[in-house]
Amino acid sequence: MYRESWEKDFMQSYIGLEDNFLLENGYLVARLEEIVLAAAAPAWFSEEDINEIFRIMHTIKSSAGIMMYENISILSHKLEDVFSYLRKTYPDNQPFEELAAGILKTADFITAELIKIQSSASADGDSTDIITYLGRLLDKMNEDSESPVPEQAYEIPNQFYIAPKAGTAKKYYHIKVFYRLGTEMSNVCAYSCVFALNDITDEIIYKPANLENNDSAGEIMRNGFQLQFSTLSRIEEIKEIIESSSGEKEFEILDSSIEEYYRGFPESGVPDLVINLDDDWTDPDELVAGAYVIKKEGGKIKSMSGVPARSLPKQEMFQISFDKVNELFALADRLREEAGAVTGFGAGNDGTTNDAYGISNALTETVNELWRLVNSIKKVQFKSLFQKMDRAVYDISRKLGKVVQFNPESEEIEIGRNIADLLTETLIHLIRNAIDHGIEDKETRKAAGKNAKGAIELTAGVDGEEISIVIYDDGCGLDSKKIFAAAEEKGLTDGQEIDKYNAQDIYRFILMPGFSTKERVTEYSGRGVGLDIVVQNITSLGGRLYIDSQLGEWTEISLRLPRN
Amino acid sequence: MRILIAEDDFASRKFMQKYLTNFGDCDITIDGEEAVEAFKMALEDNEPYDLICLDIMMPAMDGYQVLKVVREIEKENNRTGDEAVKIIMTTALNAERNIKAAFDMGCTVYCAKPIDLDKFEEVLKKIGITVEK
Repeated sequence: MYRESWEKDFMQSYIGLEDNFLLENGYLVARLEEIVLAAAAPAWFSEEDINEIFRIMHTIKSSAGIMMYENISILSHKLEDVFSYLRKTYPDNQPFEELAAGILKTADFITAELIKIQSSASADGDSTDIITYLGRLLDKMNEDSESPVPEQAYEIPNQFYIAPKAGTAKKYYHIKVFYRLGTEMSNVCAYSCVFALNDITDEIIYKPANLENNDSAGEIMRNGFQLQFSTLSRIEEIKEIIESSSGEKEFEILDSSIEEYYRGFPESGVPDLVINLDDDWTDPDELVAGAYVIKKEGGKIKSMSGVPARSLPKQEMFQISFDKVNELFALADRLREEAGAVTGFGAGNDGTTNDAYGISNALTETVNELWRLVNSIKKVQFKSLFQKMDRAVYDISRKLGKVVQFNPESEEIEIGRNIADLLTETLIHLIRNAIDHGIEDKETRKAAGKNAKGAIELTAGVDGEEISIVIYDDGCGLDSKKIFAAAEEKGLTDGQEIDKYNAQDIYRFILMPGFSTKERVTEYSGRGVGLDIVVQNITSLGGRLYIDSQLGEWTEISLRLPRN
Repeated sequence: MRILIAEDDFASRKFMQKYLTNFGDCDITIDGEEAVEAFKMALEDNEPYDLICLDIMMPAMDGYQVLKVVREIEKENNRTGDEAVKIIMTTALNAERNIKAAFDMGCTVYCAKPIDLDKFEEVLKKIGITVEK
């Protein structure tokens, strides 16, 4: 059993290369999209943009190459090549729209592949179409140029990384064995247990380690015998092996990890956890470090495992700011100190009694702070959803041939990560409606004396216990007469006359399932999927929706969502 | 094709040997020190290895030490570029720091265990290790 010190050092950084690849490239691809969207208004990539895109593609190319994701790597190379050309020539006639389309296609392709890798599917996407597209674009730029730049061939990387085969990984276990009171020579029993387990594992570490020494028997009886190992065997087999080894005992099989394995056992004297749900700890004198008991239900083996080898999907990851990690660490550190004070409570070395009230207050305060911080980590800034909306506006307006200026604005509002996706999807649905049904085409707008560029404004703010989100467009507005006629035709009006309804009530008809006054069905806002889905989503988030409009001038949809 | 396998775990060793025999003659060592000896001998006999498969956690000398020594010896003998032996590290250690360290020291492939054989085969092709006819 050898354990070199460097291994422990290296193991301190636990995140695997593949996880890091996913995280880093996910960030880079989002950045690509951000650059394109920011450059869309001037319709021009600055030198700075060009350099950054070039660097991003170079980074993705290299890491994907090492990871053997050749489709990503070769595509990234091609886009890098395009931007290498732009970097060298910086031409005056930059084909912005074509370049932007190429970058977004590339970004979307890589995103799709990253999702596959994340969920352990094979990243088998075919990027040849996009490569061809970029190749043609490069050729065309070269033709138009007075100083053509030769194409750079893709070079196969000279170092590779192979991620561990998913699903077949050895599982790590941490086992605690407690021999029945009065067991003689428990060290020998423990040895027989280690010996038996040797068949199903390469290496076992255990505590106490000096089993040939009879003194270890005492420690085993007091604190139990602990083992850590990895194996491909199933948990039933492990149970059987331990049961068949010498001595009457109870044991507990805990899931562990390679990290924990390399960390080894906690330093002696430091209890890892005090778990005793049955006893009433009224007498603090009993609470001395090391005197902890891990209780099990009467004779039953409490297994926290029993699940077959953890198969993927892998964990979902998100980025967290260093500040928050530092705060988290500081709080954890404080908790540790305060927990130490509680454990040592009443047993002060200097003979003084500790201040129970003070300790308890400090502990409560720290726990509350920790709760608040962890809670905030679970949230995201509402503003962070804007990029997806920006991208939607970019795609939809181009597809529909409309010119739209999207202006999102928000106060500092935090929303739960769990509802972020649904909310984004819902807002994009509303924005899509606004572009498709609200904003008129250029000619119509000009004829109506409006700015050729349509405007969509999204404004979010906090109002008491509610979040208010307003989406405004300066399009054609809602025609209450048309809406009413359609509602009447669909039998939604109870046979009442139009003058019995106020405008708000009439607008609400468009929220009903299946309602649509739009004759043309487009890819983006088809007849079937209507505002009723939006209403459903908003209701599921505990919110409400209002509509207001001025025919020919504007439409405004307001959402009210509870803050929590 | 001459192949050297350095692996202390019996099962892994047997597996690697069986698998790599298709690609060439395999020599086996069970610790790092022996692996360095074998490498030196092959070089002196003018029959250098084309591929070394190194476990990282080995007694006597670990995989990193072997990697470092091998690359140093090659440098002294001006065996760089295409002449340098291809080195595949096979290991259960899969933290980024381990991998970066191995790449910095000049390993060709870092292969985390359990080995993904499809990718392993793909990588052998990429680094020019092909089945002998």
